[in-house]
Amino acid sequence: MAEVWDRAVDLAVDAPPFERNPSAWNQRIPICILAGLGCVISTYMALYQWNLIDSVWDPVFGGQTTAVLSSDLSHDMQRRIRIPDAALGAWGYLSEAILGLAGSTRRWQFRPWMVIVFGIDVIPLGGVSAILVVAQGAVVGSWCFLCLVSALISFVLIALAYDEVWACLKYLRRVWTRHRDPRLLWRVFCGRPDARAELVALDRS
Amino acid sequence: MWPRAIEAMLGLWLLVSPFVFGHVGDTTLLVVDLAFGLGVFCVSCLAFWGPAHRAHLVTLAAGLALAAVGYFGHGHPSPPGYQNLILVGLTLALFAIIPSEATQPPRSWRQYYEDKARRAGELRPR
Repeated sequence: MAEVWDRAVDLAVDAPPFERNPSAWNQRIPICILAGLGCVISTYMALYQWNLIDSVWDPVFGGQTTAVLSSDLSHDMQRRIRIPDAALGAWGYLSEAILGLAGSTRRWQFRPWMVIVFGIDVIPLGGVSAILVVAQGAVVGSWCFLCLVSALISFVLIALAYDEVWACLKYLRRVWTRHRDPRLLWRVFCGRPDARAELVALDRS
Repeated sequence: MWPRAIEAMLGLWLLVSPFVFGHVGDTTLLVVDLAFGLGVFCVSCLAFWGPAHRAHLVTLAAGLALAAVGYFGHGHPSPPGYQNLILVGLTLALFAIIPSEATQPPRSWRQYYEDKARRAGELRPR
């Protein structure tokens, strides 16, 4: 079957309103690499919080990193979520990398639910967690170089990921504006094929 | 099928977890690790069989259940075995929401384009 559909559809087509494809691998692979780096950094800090390593590398703030990672605020967070906050952060970055890898290069049309889940993961959740990381330093009164690097990674990820999410939202909006049919919108969101939605997908008007 | 392969590996990790974290004496945790580990491994392998390609939805439920057992099964401070359940459960749930043919368009869309091309006479009928 692969040969047949492969000839009938262009997976590299531009996604309106952009004149490029925001689901292309050359855009998604850097997101995955950056999220992978964030995962490694957070895992490294989690190793300290699990007492598996004695210290954490910090070329700028020195011992302040360990003060942040073993602060009362951090312990309070661990009491609430049962695992070190850095471990949850590592899982968050891992989820961004995995959701970035999943789906074809036309997933903004064929699997909108996946792009929306990816967008929720990267944009609101990533943004809030990055702000909390920075706020944690302000509350504790000590700063952590790797925490700031991971917060910066989250902000860069938002900048890299927003256009795919935007293209997908615009597509869903076009489907709704043209047809005003909740069932069709749900079908499209779930990634089921529909000739009416296909006509709308590449429409730039 | 890479999400299913990773789920199978996570199932194997659950099977060896009691020995890694040294909680073989904790019967509850041991049973949870072994039962879920074996179940996840089998379901992930089953998903490679065409008609069962949606078996990963069972893994999604199992992942969430594992995370819940890890979270509610022990108060603070949570022992390593329970923290392992939380992280493995969340990671299983993460992979389980990804369809089996993860980097291709959905089967229904592929069929749609195949039918469309055939109607247009671009392809010979089956």
